[in-house]
Amino acid sequence: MEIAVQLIIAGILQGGVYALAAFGLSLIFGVSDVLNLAHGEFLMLGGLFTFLLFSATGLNPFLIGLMMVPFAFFLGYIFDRFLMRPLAGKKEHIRLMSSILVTLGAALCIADVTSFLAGAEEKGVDYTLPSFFWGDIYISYLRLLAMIMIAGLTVGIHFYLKKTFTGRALRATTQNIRGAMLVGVDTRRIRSVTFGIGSGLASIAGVFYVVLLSIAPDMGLGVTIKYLCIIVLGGLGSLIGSLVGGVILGLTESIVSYYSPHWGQTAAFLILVLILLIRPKGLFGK
Amino acid sequence: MNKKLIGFCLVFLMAVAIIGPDLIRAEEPKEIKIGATIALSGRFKGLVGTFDKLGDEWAGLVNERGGIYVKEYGKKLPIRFEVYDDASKPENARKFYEKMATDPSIAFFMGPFSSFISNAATTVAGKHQIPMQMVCANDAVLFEKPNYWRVGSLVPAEDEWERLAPLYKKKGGVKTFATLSMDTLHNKGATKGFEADLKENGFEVVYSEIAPPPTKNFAPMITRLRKANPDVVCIEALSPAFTIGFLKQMREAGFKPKEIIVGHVTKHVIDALGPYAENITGLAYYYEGDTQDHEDYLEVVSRAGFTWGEYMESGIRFWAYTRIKQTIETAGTLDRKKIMETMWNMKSKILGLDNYVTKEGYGALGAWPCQVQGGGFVSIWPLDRALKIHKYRQ
Repeated sequence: MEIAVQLIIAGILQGGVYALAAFGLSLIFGVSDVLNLAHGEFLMLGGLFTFLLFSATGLNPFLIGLMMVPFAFFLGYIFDRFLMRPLAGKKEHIRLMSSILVTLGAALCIADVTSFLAGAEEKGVDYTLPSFFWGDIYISYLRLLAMIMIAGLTVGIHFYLKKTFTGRALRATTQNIRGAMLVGVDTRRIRSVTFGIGSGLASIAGVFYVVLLSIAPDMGLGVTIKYLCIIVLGGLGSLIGSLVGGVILGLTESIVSYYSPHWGQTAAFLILVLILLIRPKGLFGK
Repeated sequence: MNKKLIGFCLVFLMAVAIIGPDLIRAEEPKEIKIGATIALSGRFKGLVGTFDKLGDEWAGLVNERGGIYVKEYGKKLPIRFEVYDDASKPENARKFYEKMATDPSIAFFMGPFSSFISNAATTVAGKHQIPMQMVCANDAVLFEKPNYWRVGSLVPAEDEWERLAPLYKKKGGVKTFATLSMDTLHNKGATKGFEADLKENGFEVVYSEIAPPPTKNFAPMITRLRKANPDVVCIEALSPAFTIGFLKQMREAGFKPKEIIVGHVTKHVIDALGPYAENITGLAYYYEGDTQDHEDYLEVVSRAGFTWGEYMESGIRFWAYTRIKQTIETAGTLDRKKIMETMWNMKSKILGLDNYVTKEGYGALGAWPCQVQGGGFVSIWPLDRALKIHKYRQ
């Protein structure tokens, strides 16, 4: 029984870490209709700058992460301004294809430049929080923090989308771009803002990544593919879907890996296929 | 007419006889060029570090002393490496070795990092009949199929950890072991050999698991590990990310074994774990000594900008470089067939240890236990050469 509880807790918390990173990707797709394959690179950059600043100053990595959010936002904003905006006027299928190619190229470029400038080796931050123990069951406070953060972000972004002008403009752009333009929404700026928010979220996920695991310049595409699967499972563009998708993936991996580590990821992706067969638009897709 | 023709031929032959040696001399190589690929990016980068620079520094040291004596030419020739980044991918390595095979000035191939990539590279060496000194590659798959044109530097993967079990037997205090290995040929081979050694020495292996390389969530394995409650946890992975991820999650789980063994300890693993890395035991292909080779090795790694403890695989590189130098000096020629013959038959000393190649092609270099102490990776075995005494974590 204790083992089952432990596996469920570990799976849910792992899912929280996955969801945190998938969140920004889902948001960008929801608003801009582009698949940002460079999302993992923004995560890696978040982790890398945390590592560099932590090594230089010894500050709390999460404090560094929070300080970096504006920079990550700016990076995402200019990424959209110079790379994605030229594609905005294209037909939908051309825009999607072009965005995949452009962001793939950008991902490879960022990985190579980072590798050249900061070295290709794995980098990890030595920071931990004591876990909570209840008998043989343990809860990692670090992962709990990721879960709290993702829950907070879900609520925060929900209110941001509902209550602020930019949020409403963002929703309007998602629902009907022409209608939004007709009522005076600067849809191009909204897209750039969304990219900025997405990059900021990826950068926060990068902080968790470098603290819980380690980062390397070539890790980006691998994690992007995993997070793409999560947002497809949850429903493209659905924020709550990212959270549920991440938790399903984490839980499946956790339970199956207990019996056979080789089947953990396979089983998780089999579930993805099964759900897509039943609901082709994902769990919360519209 | 015939007399004129005969006369012309005689003059031609005389001319050839007179200027022939000079012509041959003109074809003498100006340098000894060694072709290699290294994982300067990709998943093995964390273990390889700046080994391209290490090779250049070694060549620099040899060249400062005049180069390598080649009897055939009656003089010393400088040595130089031509290195490509295979990005930790066998298809890249194959492509670059094929490219280098078209260059007749390449005297030698030096193998890439890992058995996985070497498996692709050795086929090129065999196909073009170019001698290859393999470096960090010792898995059975490389030696099962005959290939005359490659030899290794290392003992079989299964024997690499053979000095650890005697250490624990001598020291006492631990009885049960758990092993987790990343699913690669090398990691599985080394762990299998270690488990056999443990059983032979009277220890019990209470948990043994193999996990795929992309594993990020180790919590399920750690849950089982805690249930088995071993004295010693051993992790063997060619990817530092795998090792770091596992150990950080073991720390999260509050599991504190008496001893942690890590198969591939590098600077990045130590840095990422901070104080938690203290007293992690590992292995290195080197221990302290006082031969000229020891002096040269320390000089070369220092020039390359690191210490031997930061990149423990650098010992294998130095071994392979020295083998190449000794081979050329012993063969006295750069003729590929004679070089290869010498590589198989040569017996000498490197770093004060016996250097030879087995009939299958394995080398003679093994690994010795080391431990992270005071943030550095230091020799703890053999006892008469150890810099520090082995300590358990608690």
